[in-house]
Amino acid sequence: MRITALLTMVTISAAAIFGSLALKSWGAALKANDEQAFTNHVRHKLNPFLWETHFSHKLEFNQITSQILKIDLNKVSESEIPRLLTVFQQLKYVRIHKLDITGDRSGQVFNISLVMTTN
Amino acid sequence: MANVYRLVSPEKLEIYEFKKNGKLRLSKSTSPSALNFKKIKHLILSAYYSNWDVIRIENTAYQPNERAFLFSSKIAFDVDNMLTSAPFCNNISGYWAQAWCQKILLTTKLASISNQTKVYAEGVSVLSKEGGIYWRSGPVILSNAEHTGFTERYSEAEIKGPILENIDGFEFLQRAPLIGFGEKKLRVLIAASLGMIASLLFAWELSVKEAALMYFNPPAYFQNQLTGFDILNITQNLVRDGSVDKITFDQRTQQTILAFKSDDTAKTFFELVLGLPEALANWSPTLNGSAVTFNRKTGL
Repeated sequence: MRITALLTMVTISAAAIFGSLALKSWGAALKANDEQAFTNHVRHKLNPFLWETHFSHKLEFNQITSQILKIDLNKVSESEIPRLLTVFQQLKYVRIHKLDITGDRSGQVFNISLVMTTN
Repeated sequence: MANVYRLVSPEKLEIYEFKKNGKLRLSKSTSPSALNFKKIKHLILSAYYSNWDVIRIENTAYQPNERAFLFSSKIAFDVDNMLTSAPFCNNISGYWAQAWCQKILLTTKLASISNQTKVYAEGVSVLSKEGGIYWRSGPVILSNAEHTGFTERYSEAEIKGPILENIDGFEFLQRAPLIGFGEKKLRVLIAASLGMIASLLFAWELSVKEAALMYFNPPAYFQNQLTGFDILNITQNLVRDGSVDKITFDQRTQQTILAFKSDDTAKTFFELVLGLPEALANWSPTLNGSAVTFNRKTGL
């Protein structure tokens, strides 16, 4: 009886450790494959560098409240706009509320302002 | 009253009824291998398995620790390899006695014995009803030692009288049980339980908590399709290059606003848009100065 209890406990311990390691590894792989995972992370979503990398463009990052973010992309060339619009529409962990595209009078470039809320 | 078991040798185990008057009554003799040791509550180890010694300590205030071993200087074995009783004082004689046994002799028995079992050394816990009686206990002969209140060992050659082969009718005194039976197993179980709790906590903190949170609170997914995007596709040929100052997609109000550089350009655009009723069936355009606002019709 005691041996059985001991073996059961050892088995449960080993299963818990290996199972959690496997789960961690699986979760990490899942996140690594999700390019937008940072937008759902409590700290990473406030990292401007990650947003710049995702949009492939320099930006100004403003945190209006804990959940409302405003991102300004300046001097966006005309050819970049279709790509960026596609990227915006593919955002899945944030909700876009307002998108302004303003022509810059100084040249053939645009300024884009994006207001969104996060989870 | 519960039975008392006397482990005489690897081949012999005696079962006694323990009477209310403190006397043992032999019930039967059997082989140790035929018995389930887990059910035993009181076990007496003969001198085959156990040893003991006595010492007189004059200091009446002497009160040794339960784990103290009074005879460590007299034995060659490592104390860690033995089970000992607590030192026991016979208040009448003033003698202290302590029993011990080698773990190695009881390896198989220890594995199957219950934590509740009390194990006694015969030399300390069994006395004959009167002096001058000799009985066999494993390889030695025992007899009461009146001056100590415990027993003394004899060799067979010293004894002229009869030697009893069992302890039927003897007095069983439940004193100085051996300490440590089952403790190691209990420690192993406790360690295994703690290890299991620690590994479950580790698993919880490492990944299970996050997975559980994800399962019960999955992240919200949003469809960010820009509702006014089709307006741009339809009207792009109606807008002259450089005439639009700003385009706003307001997802909350379902509005798309095109702000022109002049009122005239906006008016011209608005009039052209009104000529496309089918293409913009889902939208109702309004002119407001230099801005043309497309409101998405409700119910769509």
